[in-house]
Amino acid sequence: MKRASFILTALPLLLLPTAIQAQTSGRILGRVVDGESGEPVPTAEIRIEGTDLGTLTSEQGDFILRNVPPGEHRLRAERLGFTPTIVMVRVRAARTTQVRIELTRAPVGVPGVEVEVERVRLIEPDVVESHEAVLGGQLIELPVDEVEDAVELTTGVSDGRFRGGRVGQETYEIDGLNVKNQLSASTQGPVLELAPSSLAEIDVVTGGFGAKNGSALSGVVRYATRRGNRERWEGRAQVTTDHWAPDDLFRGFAGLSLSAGGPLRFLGDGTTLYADFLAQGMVDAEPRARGLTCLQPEDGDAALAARIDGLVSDPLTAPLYCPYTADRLPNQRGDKLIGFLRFDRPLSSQLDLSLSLLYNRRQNELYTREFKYNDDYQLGLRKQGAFLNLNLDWSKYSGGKVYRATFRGAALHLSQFVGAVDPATFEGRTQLAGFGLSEFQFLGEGFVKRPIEEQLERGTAVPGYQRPGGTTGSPFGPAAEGIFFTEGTPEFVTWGESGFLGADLDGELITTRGLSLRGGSSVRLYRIENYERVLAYLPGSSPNYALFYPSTASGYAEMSLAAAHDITVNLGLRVEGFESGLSFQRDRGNILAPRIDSEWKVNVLPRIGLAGPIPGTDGRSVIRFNYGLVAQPPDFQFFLDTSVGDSLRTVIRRQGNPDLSFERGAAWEAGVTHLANDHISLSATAFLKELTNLVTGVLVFTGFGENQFTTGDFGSVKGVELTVRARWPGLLVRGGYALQEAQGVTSGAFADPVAGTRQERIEFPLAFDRRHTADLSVFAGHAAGDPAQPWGGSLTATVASGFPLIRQDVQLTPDEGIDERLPWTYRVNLRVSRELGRLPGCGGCRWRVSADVRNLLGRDNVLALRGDTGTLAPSVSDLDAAAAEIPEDIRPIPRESPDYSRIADLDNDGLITAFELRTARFAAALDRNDPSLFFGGAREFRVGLEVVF
Amino acid sequence: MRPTVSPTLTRLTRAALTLATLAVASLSCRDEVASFEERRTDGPRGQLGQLTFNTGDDRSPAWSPAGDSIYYSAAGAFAGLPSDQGVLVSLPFAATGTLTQLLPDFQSPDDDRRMWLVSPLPSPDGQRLAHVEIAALWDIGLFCSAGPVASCTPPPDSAPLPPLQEIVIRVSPLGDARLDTRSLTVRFPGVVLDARTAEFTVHDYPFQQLFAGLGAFIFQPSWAPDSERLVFSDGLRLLIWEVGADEAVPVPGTEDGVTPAWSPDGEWIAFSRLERADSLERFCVHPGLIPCATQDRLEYVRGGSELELIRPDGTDGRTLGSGFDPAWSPDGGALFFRRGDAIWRAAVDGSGVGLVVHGAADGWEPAVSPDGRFLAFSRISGRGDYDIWVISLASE
Repeated sequence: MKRASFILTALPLLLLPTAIQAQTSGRILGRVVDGESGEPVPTAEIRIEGTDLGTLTSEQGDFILRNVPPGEHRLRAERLGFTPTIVMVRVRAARTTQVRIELTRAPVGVPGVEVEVERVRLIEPDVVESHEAVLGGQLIELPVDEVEDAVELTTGVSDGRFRGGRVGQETYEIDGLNVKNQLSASTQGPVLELAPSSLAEIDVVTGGFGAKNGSALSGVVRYATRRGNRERWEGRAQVTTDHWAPDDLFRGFAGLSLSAGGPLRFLGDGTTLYADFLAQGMVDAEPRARGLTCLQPEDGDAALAARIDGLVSDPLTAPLYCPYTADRLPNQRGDKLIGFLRFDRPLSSQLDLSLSLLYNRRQNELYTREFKYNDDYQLGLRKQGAFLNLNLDWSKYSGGKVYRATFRGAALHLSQFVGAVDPATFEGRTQLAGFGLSEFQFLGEGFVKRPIEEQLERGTAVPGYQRPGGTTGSPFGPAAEGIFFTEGTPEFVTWGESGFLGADLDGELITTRGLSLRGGSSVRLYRIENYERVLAYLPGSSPNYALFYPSTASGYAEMSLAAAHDITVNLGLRVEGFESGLSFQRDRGNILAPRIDSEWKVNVLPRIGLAGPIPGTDGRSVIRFNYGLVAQPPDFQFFLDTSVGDSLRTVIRRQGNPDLSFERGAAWEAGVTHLANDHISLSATAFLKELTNLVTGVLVFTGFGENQFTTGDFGSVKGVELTVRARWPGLLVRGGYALQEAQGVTSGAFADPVAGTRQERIEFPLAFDRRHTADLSVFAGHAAGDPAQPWGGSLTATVASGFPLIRQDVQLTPDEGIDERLPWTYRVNLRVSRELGRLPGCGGCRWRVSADVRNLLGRDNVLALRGDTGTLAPSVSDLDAAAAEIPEDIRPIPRESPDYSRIADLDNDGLITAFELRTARFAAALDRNDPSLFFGGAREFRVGLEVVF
Repeated sequence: MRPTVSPTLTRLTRAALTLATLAVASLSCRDEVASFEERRTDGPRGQLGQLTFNTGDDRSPAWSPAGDSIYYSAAGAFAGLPSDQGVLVSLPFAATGTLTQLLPDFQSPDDDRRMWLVSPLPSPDGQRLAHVEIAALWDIGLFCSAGPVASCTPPPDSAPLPPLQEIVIRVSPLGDARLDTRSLTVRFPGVVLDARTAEFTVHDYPFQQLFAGLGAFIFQPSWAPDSERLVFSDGLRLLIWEVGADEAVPVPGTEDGVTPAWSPDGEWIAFSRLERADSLERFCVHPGLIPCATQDRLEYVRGGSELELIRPDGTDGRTLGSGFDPAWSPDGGALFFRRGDAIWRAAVDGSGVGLVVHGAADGWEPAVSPDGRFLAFSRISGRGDYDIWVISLASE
């Protein structure tokens, strides 16, 4: 019997996923042998239960199954004279899983024996990299809105930062193709967005990625899209909304998710189509924990508390304090749309075609405190992405070897626009539950998209833009002039479009002896167009504009082999290069300096990885080790003069540098995974990253050279990660903890906009040095894959310490360092669903209801504090200075004046005096510093209805 | 043969219909985040009592034909203007709204044409707006060189020049007071310059003293019901100007007539006739190296004026007793006017004279709303400046 079971000691050979990412489904490459003699078993029938995928073994006992959906499958092997055997196999997207099955001779008719391989799912003895995979089935059960939220559940990933790296140090792959937002990943994220229901798997790699992966310093996120079911049409429709929630939980969210996929048999067997559509409408696109709040006495120091108490305790001035608060932020309306279509067709027995098209659009107003009381104009954002991917995958199985070649051609287009939303088009657009059927239109959008020469020739302001100002419309009337802009528009308009035409070619050779050779190349031809105009209301103000054509190219070779003692060795070499495509003056201070063309920057990056069982542990403990050089081209936005928006959406300017080189680093990691019992595994990983040539992060205003982007920052991140995975029938648990320290020399640590740059090069905690993070995810019932359970639940929890608080005006020294940090944050999300059985009136349909709670505990997580005071509040002296801007001899404002505000007329005598104006201005300055955006997500409660067929 | 429907399609359709029904039911839009609503209209605005609170003078109220707004001249209400300058404004007489400036261009601080604008008056048909621009006042310094004080008795400061020199009556479309204007320049009598001797002689008539002392807009015009003619005073008589004509025609029998008011039926003009006294003094106005000016001061009975009625052709004059600044009731049956320190009401035939008791004490420049329910007037507030008040006539 034991011989009939899986031979645990042979696990490394039996399940050998290899690291090529050629297609979005997976492959199983296997060999069936006689368990007693070890001889190959020919003509054995191999079948994946629940699918029509199957084949027969060759004379050598080998077989290959292609187009296997990612996930866990029961692989059944049968042959007359042997006991039918079932092996649990986990297939990952874009990978070849190797399996060895030993059959036991038995009389005909003996029932099949299911092999217990839970441990294989809990430890991966042959996997070199540090990764976390979430299957599509789990993804739609998670209480997340965006796939990025699921990525956050990986140990070492927090707020988009991978292992202490900066945002943008990771790269994204969709079906094996790199689609990083090369223009502005560090500030805008990936832009391209997929719906959770369109994915078959997310694989998040935080360390040890192979030579195929480039353009990343800290991580790789691999998305494998879903393809249509080959056997029958199936679909899913879901409505989720909080429009039913009580007022204090109502955020104005409504979402509709539709997906359907199935065979197109009239185009040939195996041809499938999958379509996915997601639409969301949001009244408050970024619900914050306190909604629209104001400074509380405890938010600042004692002096501020006393002044607030003074305002509140006087009946005449009490109405000036917090005159406008709400459960939700105003001017945050928006919507999101994602459409995905995938077509798969086998062109021959060896060649598969896959074509996918993705479009996403997110648009919403951006709450800005200074425009809080502006009824006419608000800042808005529109992001759009479109992605076309053609994938041709050829494979041949011969003589125990698999030969594969994959060609990918892709086109990507990303665009974003930030500017003043045109109120005429905004209010009149058709919408349902907050979802707008049309795009946001922005003031002057047609003008700023005109040829730049034409704009300069006209010399006019951007049409529709008006100088921000106004004395009325706020609760403080004329006292708030210059503090709140109740008239006019936001000042700036910026848009960018980037895209590429790209092609990849990969080749692979896999043998059943555990050797694989891979190689490939990749080319991207970019087109980047970027426009920024800061004083858009001002005729003659000049925009920053650039149109250029950068390129990237890369090649790699990698070998993976099963060495002695079941050790898997990966050796790889990657060559990566980019060219900015710009000509520039190196000396910007000299207008006569010659222009020079940018050159190709090239990097050679070796990668080494080892994995294998620890001798004497019966395969229950495995170790990993990785070393590699990593590099990524800097964001192309750093080539350009740019206005950089900080977290408070203010605008600062910086000079571009087309001569930037790679951001580089070296990464080491070592890890051990131990199977505690058949249900629980523990994993520990230590890592070290040396980051060099990082693009400087903070402005320095002195001089031309210093006011320019450079790659002068460097640092190192070291840390330890612990992960627990547990699995019982109907229950999945995963928990992780990461301790890390990110030290570095960064311009951010000692830039002083007033005094200039300090000369010391001292290491300080990097701005993204988050020390402690812990996360937990639990799936139960049918959410854990147990179809017998009508109930399902999933819970995610994250705990994290705060980022360093870099104070302004604080002179740092090596001894003092930075000991101030933002507070810890806690967040728990919960999703519960209940199957309701067959849907009445729809025979083949099943339905279920769900309830989603975000930030279950209602924590007011603080994500930012002021750099000047270290609190949520400004200093009283700053507020007093604002109040003192009102001259004492100002003429009183009578009630009939348009400038009059009842709330500022404290004694209600029909006249606002200078004293009253100053009092109101203090309150206005207090209100202007409302800390709404300093807080994390609000508690949300949604209910959903889902129908599947 | 009847085509068969795919079971898949049927399921899909049913699922879609079910979801659509549920979606419509569930996605009934909840309120969006409400914008801040400024509570700027609380308080006495729109209620009876003090309507304006400007620290400068708010003068000469006039109702819009619809009775929903009050036009008046305001001084010093706007930043950037000296407090002694006035602008024309309209103020909704309702629970909401703030004043609207009617002539912004004329009051630009950098504009040489800046004048003192007073007495806005919408025409009865609501198409036109008349107003008065007070041009430069007399300034002896423009004519005489300053020199050492010689033998002036009494000193010059106690015997200033009469201020009114010239006004312009301007009529423009009500919607935009800057366009298509018709104007008439009115020169006030009393100052004569002898170019040969470089001396000028001044007759300080009662209207000048009334203007200088009380700021009374004695020249305030009044529309005829046909909205084509205006009656006004040049200080010594009433004149009728057919809007657009080059000259105005004097109304006989209106000597020393000021503050005219045309009756709603067009048959009568009510006005105030200033009472003169007999005393005559001669003052040295501005001594210099050479004598520059002398003044003949013509006294009048302070506060003494008679309320009179006269036909537009100057016939059928009648005296109604003492009174100043008359205003007609909309039905033409009564007059409201100032007498003593209060506003009074009397029938056209002079009977039924009574005090308007509720809140109209110290009122000037009465104006009755078109529906006859309200009385607007100006009054000096505790701060010493004029403000506009409105009271109800319902209980009178």
